[in-house]
Amino acid sequence: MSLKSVTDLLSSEPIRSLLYAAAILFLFLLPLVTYLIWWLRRFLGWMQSRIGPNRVGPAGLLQTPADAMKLLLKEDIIPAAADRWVFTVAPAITFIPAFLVYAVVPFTRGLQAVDLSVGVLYLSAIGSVGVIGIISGGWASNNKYALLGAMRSAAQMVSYEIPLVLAMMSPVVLAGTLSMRSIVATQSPAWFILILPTSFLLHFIASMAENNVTPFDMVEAESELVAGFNVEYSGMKFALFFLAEFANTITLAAIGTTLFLGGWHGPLSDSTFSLLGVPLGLVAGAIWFSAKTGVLVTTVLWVRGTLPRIRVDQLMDLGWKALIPLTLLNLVLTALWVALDWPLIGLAVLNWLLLLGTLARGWHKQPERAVEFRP
Amino acid sequence: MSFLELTGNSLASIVKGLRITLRNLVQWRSRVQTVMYPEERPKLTDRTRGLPVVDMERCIGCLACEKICPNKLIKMETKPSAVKGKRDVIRFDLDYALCMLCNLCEDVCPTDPVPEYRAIALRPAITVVDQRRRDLQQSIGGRFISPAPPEDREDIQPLGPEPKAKGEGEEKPAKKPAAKPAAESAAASDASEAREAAKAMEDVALKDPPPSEGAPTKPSEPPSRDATPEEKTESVAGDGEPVQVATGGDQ
Repeated sequence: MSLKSVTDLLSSEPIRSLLYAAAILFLFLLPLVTYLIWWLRRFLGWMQSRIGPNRVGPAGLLQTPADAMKLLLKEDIIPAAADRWVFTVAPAITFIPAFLVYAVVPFTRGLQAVDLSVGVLYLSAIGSVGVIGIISGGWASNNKYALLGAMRSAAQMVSYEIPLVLAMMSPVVLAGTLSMRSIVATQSPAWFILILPTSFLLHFIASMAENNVTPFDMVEAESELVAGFNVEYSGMKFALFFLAEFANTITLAAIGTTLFLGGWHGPLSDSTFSLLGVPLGLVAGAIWFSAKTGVLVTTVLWVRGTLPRIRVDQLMDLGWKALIPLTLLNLVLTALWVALDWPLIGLAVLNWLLLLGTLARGWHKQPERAVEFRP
Repeated sequence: MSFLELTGNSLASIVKGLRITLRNLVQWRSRVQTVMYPEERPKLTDRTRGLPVVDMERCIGCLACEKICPNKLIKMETKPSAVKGKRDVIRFDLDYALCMLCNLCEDVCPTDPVPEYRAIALRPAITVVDQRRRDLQQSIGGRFISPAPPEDREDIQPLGPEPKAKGEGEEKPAKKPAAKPAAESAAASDASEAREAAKAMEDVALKDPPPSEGAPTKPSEPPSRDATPEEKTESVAGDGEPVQVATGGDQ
């Protein structure tokens, strides 16, 4: 095999996509996920008048690598009564889809592993695979807490998959395409959050619930289920679940950025100027994308540091009685506007009025009792 | 409440909650509660009360504090004294591990109207922060002293031999003038000297106990944890002289 054939093979389309994906995964995402854990602990510490980890390395920066090393070296326990095969495979089933999602995320103009024409469909399909790992892990552990966590996870995923996809559909209808790259390209004059703020909010809530972030972390619920589905896991298997959870947090922020916050759009991202062979527009786009994703991730952590966990019945209430009707209403409105070809400014005004009006309506009211959604 | 109002109310309360955590985040430097212990020490205020410390000069052996102590951590032995209205104290033990800082011993002490000058009072000489098992109180030559404070704590001083000079530190209340034994007039007034003296006396107390008749345990070897104070403190010296008492586990 000559060098030429090797370079030809490497530059052929599927192999190049694969290399992109591998490079993105190992050079960018894994360190990012590791440091998201550090950022979470510091950020929550500041919010709770603590300092957070600051002993290992400067500002505690080496804490998470040290934790990862510890988890790698720990004994890998498989309970005697566990279903060995399912127990072993479950972390991988959760871990792999968490990173597969990034295949279609456009980091900047042209930097995307593969631009599927059904990108959003792929997102929602891959996103729901992870729950299979959670359920099988909880079931295979042969532990009542793990099983309870897994069952909760099943209920939660089934409930929140629907509003999540419905909320994702509104920008898809606006853009008229399922391809992630085209959706970003359509947001050039106005980001979709300016037109569909309610849709963005509902998508944010639904994806937080879908990814078991804290106000919706019924699956883990330390105070109720010890640790939920991963209670029997130790060592690197536990680390895979843990990393998948944080990768999912970045995923939800990246998808929110792509669908609603204009992806890599921002000042300078469209410039064709290139400095020393480095296209300025691409770098600016990557910076914009990272900044928006970072802000969304931090917002997730902020919400996590603010709200207590809701009850299971409240979770179901919120999902079925509030999120699904609202996202459906929003989707129908958007579809109506696009079908009748009315100016989008009207849709934007209606959406903002809806959001701010609702907020203003309840701002000074005291709830009569514990909040319960009754549409 | 309509659905719209409820939704708005929930959203509004979430936004209000987010505002609170954001304020915490922005002002975290002034709000942070953590004390980085080995490098930092908790800042003690001027009015910090420590653990009960006994001033044997003033103690009249009335046993009021022993009776009222809810955790029964005060153990005293007294005998009749030549002075009227007073009993000589042979033994005065405090087990700080049990103290809950209820202040009752100070309240019942009849020796002075001003709490600071009572025989037993919560004094900053030993604070809870510095409490260790070897902080258990010891007496030497008629006075009960606490062990030397850590080297970096200039603000606390052992209640050692009474310093001659007054006003060496604001934390320590100036003692009321009282007749002092001649032996004590030579005591050091400087804080470091006082600490050294305290240390020296602690060593003396540990290594060279007064000869005792039939003491079951040698004071130089660590007494067992479950030994009662009575077993540990058999040493009784000459007439009217309170004798050093070493309670506690790991000395």
